[in-house]
Amino acid sequence: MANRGRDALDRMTMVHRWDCPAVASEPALPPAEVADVDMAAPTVLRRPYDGLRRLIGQAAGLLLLAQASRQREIVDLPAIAVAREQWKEITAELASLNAPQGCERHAAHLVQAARLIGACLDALDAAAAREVMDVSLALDRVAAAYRLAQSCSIERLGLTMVDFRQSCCNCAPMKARA
Amino acid sequence: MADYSIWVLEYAFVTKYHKSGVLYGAHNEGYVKLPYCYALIKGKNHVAMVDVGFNNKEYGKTLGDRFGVENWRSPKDILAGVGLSPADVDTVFITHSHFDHFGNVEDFPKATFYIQEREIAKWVWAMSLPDRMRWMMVAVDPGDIIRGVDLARQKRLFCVNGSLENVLPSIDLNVAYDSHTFGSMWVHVRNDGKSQSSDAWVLAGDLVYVFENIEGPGAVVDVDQMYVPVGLAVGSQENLVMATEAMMKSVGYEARRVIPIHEERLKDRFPSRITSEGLRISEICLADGEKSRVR
Repeated sequence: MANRGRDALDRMTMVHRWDCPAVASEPALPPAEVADVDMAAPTVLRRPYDGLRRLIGQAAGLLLLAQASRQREIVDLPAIAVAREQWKEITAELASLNAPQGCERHAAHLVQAARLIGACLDALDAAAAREVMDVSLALDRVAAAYRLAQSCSIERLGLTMVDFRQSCCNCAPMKARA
Repeated sequence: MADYSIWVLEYAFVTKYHKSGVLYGAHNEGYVKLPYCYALIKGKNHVAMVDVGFNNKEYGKTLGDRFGVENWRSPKDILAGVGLSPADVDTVFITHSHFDHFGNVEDFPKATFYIQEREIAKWVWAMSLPDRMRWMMVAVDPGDIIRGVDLARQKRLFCVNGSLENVLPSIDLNVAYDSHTFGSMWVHVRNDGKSQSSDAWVLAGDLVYVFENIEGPGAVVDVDQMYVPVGLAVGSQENLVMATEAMMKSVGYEARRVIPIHEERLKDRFPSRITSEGLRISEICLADGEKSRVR
């Protein structure tokens, strides 16, 4: 079973590009009728969800800097060590997570996304060791992780990939303005 | 002689935006309409954009339901208003990485993008901070950064480290560190082609939201006008004021030449028209031989 899972993961991250429809069309998980979801879900899921969102952002930013600058030194930045440390913490947290009722698949996707982030950081290391810097594999992995995390988003529980609360559009929620 | 035409193109709007968001200290002063726009620069055989807006597919429902963003239209529809299509755009300057400026790169298949390196580097840092500091991470979508990596892989995105002169002929990029965002950029168009231009324009991104950020009431300190920074700054208001001074200096202190793209009243200052879709086109200037798109 474990091998089959790993094979599937490898196929998804290595055969498909991140924008391949087969990956991109990762079925969005039930948009979670909040009534069906254990009340503990926001508390249980938010920490690892937000942690993964931030890790995805860090990894993507590092890849962008590495690819745009072609500087191998990117992999020696303290930011990489910080990302790896946070990845370990989130992985450990996810390992001991009791998925709330109605959110079992969300939890599974988060676990899968965390594995992809680890694989992304490994791929970035490997890319820096090559003669020509190419972050394509790392990009595929972080993009797949993003898709998985995005599929776990439950806006009404505050799990969203973009925090709009202080953004240009935020003139307070509609309800408050009505 | 003018080399470039510049239009500000509205692609969505919020009817009621709290005024304190656009003007520091304007608490309890009600609401203003906030148009969402990008700018288009055409001339010298180039079509360039300043920012690309956001992708309604990703955010539209959330923005509409929760924040009242209305009437989003695609770049294809919007650029048609000035006789162009997204495929005509060869260059895009991303002023900063907020979703409503950097959130739709996919719609510009032939463009090369420029963004400040610090905007990305400090984003990485901000994302490493604990949740209690997440205020500094707002409004940026990791998905946009991922799309940026793909562009860089295709050699279609470049990180700029500081100012850059003549990124296109007589168009310069300037940076305002730690202001609205970590590496907000403003675009300087020297429309007469001269290094000391007397016909320069500034596309200010979100360093300036409304006219009052530059021409604010100064009675309280006994001056006619003074700079009042925008309400939202990840960096400091000091840096916003200094950036405003730099922008104003670059246009000979002629305030109308600093273009705030979120300013609804551009229509009162420049020739404008409302399209059949209820969105505004403001014509900032026309290159020699270019026909008006608003008359």
